Amino acid sequence: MIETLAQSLVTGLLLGGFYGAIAIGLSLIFGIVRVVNFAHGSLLMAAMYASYWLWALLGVNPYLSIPIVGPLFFVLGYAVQNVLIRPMFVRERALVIEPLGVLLLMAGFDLVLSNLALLFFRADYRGATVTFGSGTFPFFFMDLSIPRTLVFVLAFVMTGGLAWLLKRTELGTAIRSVGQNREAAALCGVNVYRVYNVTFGLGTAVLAIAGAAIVPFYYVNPAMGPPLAIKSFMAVVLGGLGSVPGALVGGLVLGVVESVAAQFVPATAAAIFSFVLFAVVLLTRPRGLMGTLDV
Amino acid sequence: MSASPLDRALIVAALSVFAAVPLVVSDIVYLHIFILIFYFAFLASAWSLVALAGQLSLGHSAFLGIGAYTSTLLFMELGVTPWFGMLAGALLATAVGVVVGWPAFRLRGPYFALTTIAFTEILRIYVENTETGPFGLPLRAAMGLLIPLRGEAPAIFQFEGKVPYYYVGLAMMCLAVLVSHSMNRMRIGYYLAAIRGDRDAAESLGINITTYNLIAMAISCFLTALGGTFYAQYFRYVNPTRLLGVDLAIEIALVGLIGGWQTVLGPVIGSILLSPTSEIIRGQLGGTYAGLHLFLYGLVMMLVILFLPKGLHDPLMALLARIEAGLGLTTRGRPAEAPGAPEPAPPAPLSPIRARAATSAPLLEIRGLAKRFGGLVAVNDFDLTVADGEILGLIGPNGAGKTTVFNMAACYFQPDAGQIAFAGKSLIGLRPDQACALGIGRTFQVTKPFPESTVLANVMVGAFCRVRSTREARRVALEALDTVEFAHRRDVLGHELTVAERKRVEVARALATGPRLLLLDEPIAGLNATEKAHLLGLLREVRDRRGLAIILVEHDMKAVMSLCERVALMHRGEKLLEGAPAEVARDPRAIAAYLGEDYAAA
Repeated sequence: MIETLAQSLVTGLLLGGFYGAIAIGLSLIFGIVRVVNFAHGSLLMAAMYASYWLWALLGVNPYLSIPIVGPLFFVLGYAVQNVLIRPMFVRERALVIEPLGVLLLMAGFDLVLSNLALLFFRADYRGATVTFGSGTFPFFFMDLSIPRTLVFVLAFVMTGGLAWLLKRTELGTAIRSVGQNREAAALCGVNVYRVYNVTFGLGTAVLAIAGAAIVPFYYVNPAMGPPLAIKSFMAVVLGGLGSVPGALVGGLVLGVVESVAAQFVPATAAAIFSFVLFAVVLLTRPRGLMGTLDV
Repeated sequence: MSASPLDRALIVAALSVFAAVPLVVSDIVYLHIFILIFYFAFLASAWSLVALAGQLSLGHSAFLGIGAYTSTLLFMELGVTPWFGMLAGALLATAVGVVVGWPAFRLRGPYFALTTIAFTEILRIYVENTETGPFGLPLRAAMGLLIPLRGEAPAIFQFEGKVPYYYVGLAMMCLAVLVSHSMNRMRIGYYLAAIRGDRDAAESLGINITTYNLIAMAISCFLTALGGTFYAQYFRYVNPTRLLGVDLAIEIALVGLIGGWQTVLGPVIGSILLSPTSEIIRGQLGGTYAGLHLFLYGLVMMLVILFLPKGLHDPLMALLARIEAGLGLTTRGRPAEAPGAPEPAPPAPLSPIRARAATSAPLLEIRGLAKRFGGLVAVNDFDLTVADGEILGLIGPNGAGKTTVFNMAACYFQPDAGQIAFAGKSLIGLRPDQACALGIGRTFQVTKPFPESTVLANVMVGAFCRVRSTREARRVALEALDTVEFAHRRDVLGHELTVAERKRVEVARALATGPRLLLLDEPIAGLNATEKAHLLGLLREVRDRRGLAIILVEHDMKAVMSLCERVALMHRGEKLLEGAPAEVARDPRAIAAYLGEDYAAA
């Protein structure tokens, strides 16, 4: 019993690292740009397809595709913010505030991306089989999946890297100042829209890196976006909106809850537990476990 | 915009065409498309009622599912006709909607949307994994429920052909449009627009936000669940993955958003455009190009949000108006510009002056009031009394705590210590809307107009605090606008006003609630000298005619000295001194703390 529980705990932590890895980009974007990126899931899907096709057509190992996919999606994220979202901000300042407008715009973008994938790639599930970085390794009395452990480590590395970037660099200072007060930052000479572009690019790049790293064990298909996007939203809300480490913590909590609950009820029903937890946190403590933003 | 005869003619014509379609069209493919138009127009209209409260629900499919499952299970288990089961499902969905909405409405924007998604997902996962539910209900998990076919059986909402479903669908669409139309014209319509526009201002005018949000939610859930039963009877199959799915909820929201959720006919327009398109693309090209229709949906949605954020309704109506004008049928424009617009009834004489209380009990009595924000003591041991009909100036340097006192007197903040009584009743623990109902009106230092409502509608929201009918509210509002001499601008939208104009509208809005005490937070800041003198004169006149008391927070000393009968000076959260204006102006402590040597010399 203890062994089973310990095993489900470790499995849950690995699953949580996976949720955390895909949630930190969302958290960064929400914290700074204040946009709930409903296209998050489909951007993840797009990054995974990019990594998958690099493997399928050119034989590039998904881990080695990170230096290609990361910058590529930085540019994509930058462009999405600059071309699609910026006009909304410009209009919002001038006229009536439509807080839901951006959210719906991104929901529309999500539909476009996922259905483009369906049109071009069909509904097939595609997975890359790699030799480097696959298989399992012994960990106490259990065997752990190497690619899942790598994603777990990656989640911490990316969280640390983002924290360092935000705290220690000039760009990070600009980003944080914009996150706190857009008008005041603008008055201090920060180009707010450029910071938004860069932040959106960064968040998308981090997401794409996570996407490439999960290709070895997670099948890619056009409909995969929304379920993972919902998991990411839940991780971000649990951990606290606006906090990048919070997103990782939220992901870990979510993973452990699902994995441990699955010991007692069917796995699909275990998903209910995470939704209930999410709803309870949202309603009783909307700032989340580590959040700094007011609701 | 009031309906012109031509609009009415168009609506009657459209209805006649819809009613006559089955007489001409017998192809079931086309009838099916019409039924889908009615169905989605109905659902989007019902959904838009929640949007009117400023909240985006992306989980309305939950209520659709509750309706479908309730009527179907009642029929299959107990043989209850779905015509009755429909109502039972609607009532159940209303109850669930209120229970879920009550905590969720405290959240805003994306948080509310995410909560609705979470709720729907919980329900879907539960049903998909539950073979036998509570009380032994056979939910049959992901299999769903198949409604046994009984042939032509109107008594149990089953028909062989499509025509009866066509007329039921048409009737339901008309019902939803009627509900939304009447809500817009009633008090609740004005209240929801106010809540959407600015929650603080809405509360200051006596609106209990939770109550009105929940009423909108209840009606919306009730209607949506009716749609669920319609779906179940039309397709004779209740499928949890589709019916309880977030996808369907998003499709419903899309129809409303693209058509224009703030308008009565917007959802219908959205459905007329989207439902056939998606059905045809799905039917014709779905096999070869799976995903094409949702790709186009997404694209249209992005374009509409980027270029027509309020949906297609308004531009279409503007086009229609231009065509009508071109044909010389009507001369429409904004009502203010329209010559011969019906002149509102002359404002009745001002409400009778409230008899000044003969007793010596003060109207407002504040004792030992204190408020801290973290380590900052904003107000400390503050006493103040105001008599009926008195004008009191509350002055002091920025940060002295004047606005905090206002916020406690209007119940926006609860004090940490002390007592506030109004007309003998304690205000501790009350909400702002309750303070308003007792007779405390207020304006805001940073003005909070309802941006998308006209000046008249802004003030009518205040008037609804004491009258119920729209006609009466209009009369009271015009009276209040006349008092501040702003009735000529009644058709301008809130966000088009200048700062000085907003201040005046806020005074009118507060006056319309019929207050006994008016809290004015810098009402003349930003006005030029003439405007200032003018507004001050009006304020004094209002006081003289209506006998209300006014507390004025103002930095313009000339204004304070000329208008106020008594002045209290606050400094660092405490009352430094109080007295007649001339006395305070001469007091060395006032000069040191606030007025300055220059003022004393002048």
